[in-house]
Amino acid sequence: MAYDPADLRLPPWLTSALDAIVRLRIPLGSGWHLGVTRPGAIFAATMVGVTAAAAYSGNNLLYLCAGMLLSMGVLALVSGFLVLRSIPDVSACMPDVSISGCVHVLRRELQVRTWFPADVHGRWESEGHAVDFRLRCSDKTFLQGRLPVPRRGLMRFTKLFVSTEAPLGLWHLQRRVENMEWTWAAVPASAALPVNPETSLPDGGEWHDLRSYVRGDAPNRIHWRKSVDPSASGWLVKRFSGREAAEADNLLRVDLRVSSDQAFEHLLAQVAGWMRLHPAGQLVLGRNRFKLADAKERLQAWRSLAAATPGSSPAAGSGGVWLGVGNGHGD
Amino acid sequence: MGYGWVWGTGMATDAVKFGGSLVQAERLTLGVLLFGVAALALSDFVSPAYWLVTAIACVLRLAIGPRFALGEMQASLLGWAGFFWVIAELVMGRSWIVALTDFLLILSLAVSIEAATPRNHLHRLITGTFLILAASVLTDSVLYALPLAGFLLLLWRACRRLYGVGGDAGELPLGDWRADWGALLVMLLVSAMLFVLAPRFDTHSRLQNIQPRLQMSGFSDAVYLGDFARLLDPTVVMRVEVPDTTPAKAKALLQNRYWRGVALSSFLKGKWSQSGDIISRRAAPHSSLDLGGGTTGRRIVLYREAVMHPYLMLPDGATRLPDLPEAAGLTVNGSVKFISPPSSRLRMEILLSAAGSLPVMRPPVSAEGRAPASEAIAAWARRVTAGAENDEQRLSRISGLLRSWDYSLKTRVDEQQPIEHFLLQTHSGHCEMFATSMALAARSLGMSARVVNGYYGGDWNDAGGFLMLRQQHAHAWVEVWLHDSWQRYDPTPASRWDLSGVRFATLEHAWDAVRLSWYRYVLEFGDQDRAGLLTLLRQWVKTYATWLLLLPVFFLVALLLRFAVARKWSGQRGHCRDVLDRWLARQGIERRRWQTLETLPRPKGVDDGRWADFVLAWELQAYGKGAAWTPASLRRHLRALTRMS
Repeated sequence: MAYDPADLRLPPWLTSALDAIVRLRIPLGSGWHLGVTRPGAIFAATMVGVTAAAAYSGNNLLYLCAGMLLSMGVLALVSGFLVLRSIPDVSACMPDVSISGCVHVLRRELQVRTWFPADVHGRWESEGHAVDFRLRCSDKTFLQGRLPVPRRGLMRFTKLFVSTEAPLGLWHLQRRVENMEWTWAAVPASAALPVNPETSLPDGGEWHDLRSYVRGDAPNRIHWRKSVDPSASGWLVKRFSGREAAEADNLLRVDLRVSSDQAFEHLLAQVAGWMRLHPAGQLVLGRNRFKLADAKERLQAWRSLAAATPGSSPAAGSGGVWLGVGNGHGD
Repeated sequence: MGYGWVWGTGMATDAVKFGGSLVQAERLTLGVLLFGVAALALSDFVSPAYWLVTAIACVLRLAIGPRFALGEMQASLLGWAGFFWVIAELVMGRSWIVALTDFLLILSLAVSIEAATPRNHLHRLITGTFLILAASVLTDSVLYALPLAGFLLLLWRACRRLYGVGGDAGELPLGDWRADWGALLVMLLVSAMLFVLAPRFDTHSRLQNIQPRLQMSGFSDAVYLGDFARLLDPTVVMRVEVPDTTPAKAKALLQNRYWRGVALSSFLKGKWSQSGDIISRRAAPHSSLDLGGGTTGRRIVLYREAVMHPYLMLPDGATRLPDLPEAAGLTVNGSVKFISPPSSRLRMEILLSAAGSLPVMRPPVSAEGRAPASEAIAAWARRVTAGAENDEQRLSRISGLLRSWDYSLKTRVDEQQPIEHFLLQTHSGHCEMFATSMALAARSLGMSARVVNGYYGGDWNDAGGFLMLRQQHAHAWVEVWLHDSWQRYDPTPASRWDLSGVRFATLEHAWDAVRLSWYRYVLEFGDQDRAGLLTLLRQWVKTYATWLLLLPVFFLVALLLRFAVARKWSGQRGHCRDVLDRWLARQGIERRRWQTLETLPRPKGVDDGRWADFVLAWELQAYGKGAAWTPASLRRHLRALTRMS
């Protein structure tokens, strides 16, 4: 529902003039900017008109009306200031790792108290990227947004802008939040390893466990009956005892010496798939080693994966599963 | 949504048909419009029929809902019809200001029942604002404050509904009214501050000099019309205050005084009239007028309402008028008379001595000693004063006898011989009958006497700390020339003052005080008042300096206590979470602050079912209705979890 002074069927020149005013952003210092909305422009014009009439006529009731309108505008402005000041460190709530090419749906509850329900628009900016989200402050405050994840990469956002028109929709107040940064790793979607011990097992063998499906798994490994169970989060793939042996080492060494971009991206997708299947495994990515059981190292691994570029050195260390383009198992 | 108003049964249907937000905003914008209509209805320039029709339409719309509506085109036609109707009114000679209010109210009628659209809400807000602004020019009633405050509250909430949480904000819930009441309080306080601090410019009169055309503009006329609209209670004659003193002292100084108006010397054909009331001393505007009683006395301030006669009611003991607002003079009969009757309310200062002496007046002239036409009055006077040795005794007997009679405003007055009828038959009447009877009786006994009209007493207003003289305090008494000076005799029975006419004195006084405060501190507020207010504030700060210094200390202590309590409480909760996080870390699980337990993997060695139960219990105590855990109780739970698993 559009509530807007444009509904008054104003002449086009007046609407254009209003829009020009609405686009203005007055710097207030310390990263704050002030603008008006369309209703705000009309409200401000009314306020100025009534104040001028009061000053011209000396009518004290007009002075009182002007004072009331002014106090309303000031209170709306102060409330907006307080709303933006109360925004906590949202970087902790932003996703660390997302799958590139997808949309990351964000919805988290925050502890924010505002005087009035308020809708706050947030925008993270880095070089070449911008991510928008919203804070909907009411009885409960939710941080929400649909974040389109760009192609694989590591993005470091150091500029956070929050803005609101709350509570009356008259003023557009914007604040640049200092000392807040967010690193976002856009990692490739999972793909199965090229050498999957499971695929070499004969059909009809005994399976002992189920795991989530990753791209590349053979359809005949999917346990269809268990997958349609309401408690299952998606397709479930059977794990056979033979695979355990193959995974005993639980180590993946990735050789980044790849010349083709496409092959490189596919290689990283396979690594991502492996990482998701082996939360406690060890990953050697080029020359870097990560223990995925450690949360910090796991995050670092994801970031390295997002920022990975083809290398010139072979994978460090020995043993485990070697992954690269060309020779299959190495070492 | 927190609305307290009752809706018709069609609410649910309307919500579906017109959209939830539209229905919610409906009541708010109609309220804004209704308060605007109520404010304008206080004006004397508004025809009751117009605002009544609009108000009824608003109420019907509220009761029935958006289904009770005209189409946009129909509403537009109604507005245009109103415009042409007002033109016709002007052609027919109706005052333009009345026509303007008629037009505004017809417009309000149209937008109140216009089809429910977002544009309709905007129309209502704008029209409501215009109504409030028009009312600020056209009414001075203190009741204006009520619709103004209501308008502000609903405008705030309607803007929140329409532009704050609706539309792009994705329809956030509006919340209950508590926050809005708080906002209203803050807005009123800020408004009061701005009202006091805003500079006042005399732009209007300055512009008039350089641009006479402005005098003809509708706006400037409308502003001046506010002065005409300032109709005080017509029964009020004047209000008196004593600045710079306590209410008790002011009351003692002002109460039970005679406020002397015109002296009536000539009695012909049953009527009193003044005779030879010549001005002996003149004074120009803004100069002082000496009343002959010296130059000392306490300063009192008198607000005289606009009346047709030129006389100023002067209290006993008045010594000087230090700053006359208009040209005036002192007459030989001791009255103060304006050269031309002032057409507006006046503020005057008077120096008043504590003793209630009469002003210096010339000796009687022949008219004041002329014998009455009626022999019956003379016979009555002789009979009453038979045996008295001197004039004082004679006057005392007459006065005493008259005072023993009945005071009544309902006694029939004989048109042919009113005084004879009063003295010989009814023995009942009003103050003029008593005063005339005594004056004529004194004259029949050879003394010079006259009747003086004025006021006596007045209502002391405890709430406002002022004296109010109304028409009901009008009085007449007698002055007799005795021992080379005029002496006052008041033969009216004391029962006259029992008929005050005030039923609920406290309420009336409070209401008078409120109205007076509105006039003094809002309508008439100026730079002098601001200076006075600041002086008062400074004195108040000086008086309560100790308390003002202690207040921040109390506030600080209260704040520290609050923080301490809050910290203890939140510390328990926070500590609880810390205990949980440490335990999870020992299990190899890292929990981020925003993560709930159910999103975490099950700790090693913990049974699935037990873990699910624990998570549920934790969520209940943390976010639900369950009693909050202490760190000790959490540790117990965790121990049990590990042991049982």
